[in-house]
Amino acid sequence: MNVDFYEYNGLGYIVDPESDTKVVTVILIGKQTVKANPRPAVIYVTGGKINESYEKLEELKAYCAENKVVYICPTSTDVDELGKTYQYAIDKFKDLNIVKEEISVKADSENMSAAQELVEFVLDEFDDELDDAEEFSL
Amino acid sequence: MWEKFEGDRNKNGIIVEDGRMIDITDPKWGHPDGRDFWDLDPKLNEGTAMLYSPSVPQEEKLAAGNARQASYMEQWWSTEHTCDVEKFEVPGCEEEPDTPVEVWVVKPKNLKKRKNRVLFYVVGGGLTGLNPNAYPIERMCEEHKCVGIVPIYRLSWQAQYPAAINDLHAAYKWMYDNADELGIHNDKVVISGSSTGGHLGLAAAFRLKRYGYSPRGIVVVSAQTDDREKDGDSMYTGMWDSVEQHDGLYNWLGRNFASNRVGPEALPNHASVEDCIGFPPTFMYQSEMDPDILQNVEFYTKLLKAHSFVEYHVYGGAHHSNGIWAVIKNCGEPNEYSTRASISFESNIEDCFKYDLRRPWVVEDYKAAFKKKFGE
Repeated sequence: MNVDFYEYNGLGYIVDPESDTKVVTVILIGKQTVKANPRPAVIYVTGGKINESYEKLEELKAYCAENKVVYICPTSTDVDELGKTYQYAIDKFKDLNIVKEEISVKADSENMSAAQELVEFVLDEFDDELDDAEEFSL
Repeated sequence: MWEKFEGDRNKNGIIVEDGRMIDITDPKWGHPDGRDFWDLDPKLNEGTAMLYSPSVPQEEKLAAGNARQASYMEQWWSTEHTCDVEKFEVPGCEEEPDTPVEVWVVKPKNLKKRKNRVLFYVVGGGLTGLNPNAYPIERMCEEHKCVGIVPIYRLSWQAQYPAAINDLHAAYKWMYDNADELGIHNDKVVISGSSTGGHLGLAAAFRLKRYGYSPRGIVVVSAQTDDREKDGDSMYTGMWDSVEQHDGLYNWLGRNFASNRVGPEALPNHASVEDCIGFPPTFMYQSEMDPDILQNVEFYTKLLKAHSFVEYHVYGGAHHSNGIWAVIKNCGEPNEYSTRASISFESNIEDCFKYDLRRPWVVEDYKAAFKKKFGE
């Protein structure tokens, strides 16, 4: 399976496995192929470790493909910047082909407090109750 | 004198010439599922009508109004509430700083620890009565998991325009300035209300805009938007008909009634399109037979032209006080018809909380276009 890896809004990188697709009918145009079966997403807080030179990038791509999950990896650990990533995810949920209600927050061991701060920020600013942040590493 | 007005003290001196008004007290005009409340006995309405009637002396209005308000408040405070309700006295707004305002803070049990959403709820009642028992304030706060802010504004027989707008301004400012203490998020405020609650909510939004406040949205029912009658509307008679709206607003505006000297802080449709630029996202629910329905439509088109986020829902076969509003206004027997309207109404409130529908770029674009056209 093809897995895209791309920058988003200067905030970090996204690991995005190829989506399933389906054909829908569109007025005046005919048929159009669109993404289908939206996936859960993880905001993975590592303080910028996930980039083109991340040594386990292929492993992370394989994990995302196997688990049909999108990893959104912000560079910053500042809570306002992390909040921008959450805003990006819910604004672009259609393009990302993710389920807004299935966004969770994970971090490596060094960034757990920033990740938990994001969970609380999301409750304050977006009224969305996310599960507590979990540790994740490959 | 038309038969309907005979014996109604409020209607003394009213002339209704042949063919000028349609009597909608016959339920045949109504949507079959919402006919209840249609055929109201005008006698029941006399106690309200006298409070704005030009033919009743002011002292008599004050005595009757105060007694009526006391009974509403006694009912409210003696009722068991599902939310915690606390009363505050807050400072007056910049335009009337020496006049404090009573504000209620309604807190349901299902709030977050901090940064809660706010429903700024303006109770309706024709600017003659403020009866909180007639509106589902607590249910709405519970459903939307928000803190209710309820300003107890002055009524037309207590003080004329702009007193009520000043009171709403004061309540909003106090709420905004004390967000942390109140446990609220002051950028997540939705204004709502029915009838006069809608009118004052929309009008106060123009005042708030002038002072730099930006509510998240406004969701209102049967708001009065204009005091200036238009040919083709205001031609119905029934509960809260054209005569009552005319007299109610006349009592509030006094010599400024039907005058272009006062702007949208008095009645929203006094706004120009330019006034509406940057207006909050607005959702209006109206009845076909609201007295100023055409001005309502006109106000909606101004918001459209100003590129505000706006929705307009008008219910055919409905008037100001019939069954369609049974859930939204907490009156009468709810049925599937009234529940359907309520679901739409409540979903609009939820959308305002959930999404930021404001369009700040419209103001910036307007400024840039203005500069391009007229220079610095």
